[in-house]
Amino acid sequence: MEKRILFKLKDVNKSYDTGRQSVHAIRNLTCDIHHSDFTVIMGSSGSGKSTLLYLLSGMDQVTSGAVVYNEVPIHQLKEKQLLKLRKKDFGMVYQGIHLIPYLSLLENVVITAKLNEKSSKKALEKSVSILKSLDLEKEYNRLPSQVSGGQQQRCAVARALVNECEVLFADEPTGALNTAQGENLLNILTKVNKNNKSIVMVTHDIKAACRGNRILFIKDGKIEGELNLKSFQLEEELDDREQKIYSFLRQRGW
Amino acid sequence: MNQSLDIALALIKRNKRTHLFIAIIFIVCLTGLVTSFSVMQTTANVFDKKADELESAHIFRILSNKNANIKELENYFIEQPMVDSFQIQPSSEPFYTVEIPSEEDVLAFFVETPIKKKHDFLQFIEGESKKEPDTNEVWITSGFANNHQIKVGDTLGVVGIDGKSDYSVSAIVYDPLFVSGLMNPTRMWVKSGQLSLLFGTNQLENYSITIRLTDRALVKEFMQDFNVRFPNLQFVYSVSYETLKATSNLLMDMIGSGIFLVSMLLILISVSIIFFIVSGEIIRDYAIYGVYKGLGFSLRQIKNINYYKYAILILTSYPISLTLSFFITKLILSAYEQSTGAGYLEPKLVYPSIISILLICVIVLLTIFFASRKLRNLKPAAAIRFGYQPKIKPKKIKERISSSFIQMLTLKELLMYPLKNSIKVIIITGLAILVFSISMVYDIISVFFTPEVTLGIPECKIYLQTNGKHFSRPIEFILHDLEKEEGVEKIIPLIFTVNNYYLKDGERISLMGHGYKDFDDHGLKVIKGRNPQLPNEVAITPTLSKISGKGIGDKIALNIGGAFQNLTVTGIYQLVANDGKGFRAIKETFYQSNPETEDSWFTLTLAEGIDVEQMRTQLTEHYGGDLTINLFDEFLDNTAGGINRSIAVLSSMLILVMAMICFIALYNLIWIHVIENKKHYGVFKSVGMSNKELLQIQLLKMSVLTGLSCLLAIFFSIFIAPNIIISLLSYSGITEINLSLSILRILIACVLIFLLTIVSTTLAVKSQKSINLRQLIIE
Ligand SMILES: Nc1ncnc2c1ncn2[C@@H]1O[C@H](COP(=O)(O)OP(=O)(O)O)[C@@H](O)[C@H]1O
Ligand SMILES: [Mg+2]
Repeated sequence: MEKRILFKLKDVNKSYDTGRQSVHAIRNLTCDIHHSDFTVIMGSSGSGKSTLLYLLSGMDQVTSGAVVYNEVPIHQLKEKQLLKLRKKDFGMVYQGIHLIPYLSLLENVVITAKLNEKSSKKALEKSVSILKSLDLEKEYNRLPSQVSGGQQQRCAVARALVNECEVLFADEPTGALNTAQGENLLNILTKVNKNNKSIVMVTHDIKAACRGNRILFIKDGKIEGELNLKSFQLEEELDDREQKIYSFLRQRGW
Repeated sequence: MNQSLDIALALIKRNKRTHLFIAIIFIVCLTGLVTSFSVMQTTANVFDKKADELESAHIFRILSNKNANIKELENYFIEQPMVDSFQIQPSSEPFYTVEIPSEEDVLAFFVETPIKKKHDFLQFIEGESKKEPDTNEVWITSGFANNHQIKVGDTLGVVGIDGKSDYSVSAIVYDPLFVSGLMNPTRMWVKSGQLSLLFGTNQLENYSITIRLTDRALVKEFMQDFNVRFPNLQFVYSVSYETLKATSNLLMDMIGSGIFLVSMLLILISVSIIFFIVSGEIIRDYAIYGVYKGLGFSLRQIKNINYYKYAILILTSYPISLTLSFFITKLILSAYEQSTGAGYLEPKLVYPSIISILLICVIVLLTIFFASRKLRNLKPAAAIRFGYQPKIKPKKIKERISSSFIQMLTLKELLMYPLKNSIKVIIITGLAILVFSISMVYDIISVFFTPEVTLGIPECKIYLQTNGKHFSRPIEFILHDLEKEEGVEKIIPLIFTVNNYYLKDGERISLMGHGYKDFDDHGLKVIKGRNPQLPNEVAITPTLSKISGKGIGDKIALNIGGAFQNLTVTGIYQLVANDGKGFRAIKETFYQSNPETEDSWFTLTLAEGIDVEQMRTQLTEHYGGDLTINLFDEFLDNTAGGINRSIAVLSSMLILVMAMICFIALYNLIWIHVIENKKHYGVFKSVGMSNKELLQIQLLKMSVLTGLSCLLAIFFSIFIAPNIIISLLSYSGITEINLSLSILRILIACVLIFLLTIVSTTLAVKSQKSINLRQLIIE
């Protein structure tokens, strides 16, 4: 069955003007991203991975070209329409986690839920159930500084998911976590993907990349190649996948 | 060391706007401080210096000649070792009405210039310097001349025995004791022998006595000795050096302390702003500091960066401030020079500038010290990876959350930043209190300046005074005609005397006395007890009550018109005239002392719609020879106009400056707050918070704080300010004022204050345009 196209990028260019010189971070990039895929964007540091992610999520504007999400041209949207997308359709997880330090884990999630949900009761119920499902029941009332990095990042995922988004974006979500915490988070993302949510994740960690079913390799702002795999099963051995990705990357100058 | 300096310079360059703003704060603070100190220091000694230079008298009194033995007085002065020199000169009554070119009447007393002056020398500012004025010439003081725009060559009109005489101003002099334009009445000099021509030898019954002591600290001691020696002399006017000095310095002191107050306020506000800028920067640059630490910088060096930075800012603003304060001080002083003729005053800047910079440095040093305590436990690795992580105490958070996103975040922000929020509350409360208090001051002024409280006479637009006793016809006839005058509804005659006193420890406290048939009929109120109704009853002022220690029901011995009477106090009433020293009694009480006591003042009630000016012209035409016609409003303008105007100018300046400070401070505090929380707001925006919602949060927060401040200010103004104001006023004889803050005025003030905070908040949040989401979350 042909997968539905979620994002359509055409001749996308993005350059940053830093005053003295301008950096051309994305160059004439054209590609599609499919619905319910776990898409992984890989590349070395400075290759433009994050830039691409922020262009997709409408948090930054293209210099030229088109980004179309579900037939909606994101690059032409006004701030107000983008807000709607951010509230309803997109969820974000960052390497820096970025929970609000003075709100408890529950409040961090509830306050986001309230942006969409008028009923306080429903917002609270939703937040509680999502935190429960992420195994954060006991930590509701703790402040971010009082829990581990892994728990913080799980809470950030809860915050991203509480509004029942279509697409979850993650920029190096395991970057600030240790190995065990990282595994745990990736398991969660895999489960989320199984529930038919599309995920776009940026990483330069091959272990993390194994979770994807489509790997895009980006270099100097261009897609240098893609690797399609079967969907990852939770109990699957990693070695084989890792090997495949590694050789894919090596061929393209990793 | 040098590395820290380099980094400090680089930081200043990187964030020009903030640092320019801090530099401007420093400039304003320093300029204000230096100027206020300099104005006060420069003018503080002018009065003393000039008085010493021109050997001014230390005591000035006007003696009523009735039972005085001048020879005996002279002998006493010669023998008394405390007396350095004395002069006894013929003088007019203390409150003599003089017509000046600008057509309003003013009060003054005329003194004959001694042939050979022993003290009270004068410095000629305009006009020819002579031993004494010529016939029909008068010398006036510089402050008076400036206040009424009188020049050499102008004519002043005086009503004497032969009707009106013209005196031409032949010189304007610097007379140290009476130099201030606020002096009322003022002293005027005429040629010796002039007064007997003007008033007739029989009428000449006042003497000006001026005494210069060996030391001006001896005034009190001397006066005690004098009163014991001459218990029966009647003085109609007396002032001492210190009183005159205080009056003369009043305006400069007010300006100086006003500027000082404002600059202290500014410093307070800038301290809080600097505190937040420093700590905000530390939070923002935490990762950078971590890098420096990783590079081997010591904590001391990192702290030095901040000290260097502010030292550079203070040092660059210092010369600018000095130049500014030099010119502002000169401007203020030149107004002072002009109004007094004090001659050129060199602004004294050395001490003021040293004190001011030390003050600022100490304050800034302490601020940085406290603000940079956050750096104490900086761990490089954590700092670089996570930036600043505030330590937040765990709190029990309820699971029931029933407010909207905006309310929830507003509440959090209100609770999360108690210090910052209190500072905003303090700033707004300060402004609100200022506005409310000034509105109260206007209330007080309007209570103060009624005929009843200022002069002790019934409500009236016009009052008449008998000048001397030489009427063209009996007073009864004049009054009879007056009653028939068109437009006059009612005439209330009263006894108005100043030759009364109360004896306290041998010292005579001179009293103003008012006699009516019935006080209640004329609407003259008491604040306690009741008005006198019997000849052995009296009502006294709070000041006299305090001096004598007598209250309602007590007996008090008063010397009324030369004879002592023992009277029962029936009530307390308020009076401003005569420093609040006075009494009320029915006319019989006055007749008991002297059966020939006559009514000397008359208040007129006019028919509705009568033009006062026209009435005056009409009355002057008919009765000008026998009576002086006074307008109450004119009297007010003469006596209190200067102070009133100064208060009006000063208070509107204060409100304006405070509102500006408030605006700038709030704008910057909010601006800094948004910058500091940029990351949080960015995260909220990335999950769908709109700019409008961000603004709404800040507005809601500021509204809550402003509401709180207004409540605080209203509370203060209702319960605390009146006590302060009353205790400040008590010297003036006012002890009770109905300070009703009108609800309408409070509402208007609150609305304006709300507007101010809302505009500053909106501008501050808007100036943050869009928080760039991508930039926030750079990994
Ligand atoms: N705000 C910015 N201003 C200037 N240059 C930027 C900015 N953000 C990213 N860049 C540059 O764009 C390129 C791509 O950056 P980025 O997408 O963050 O790379 P990656 O996430 O793959 O490490 C880099 O060379 C980076 O220096
Ligand atoms: Mg990146």
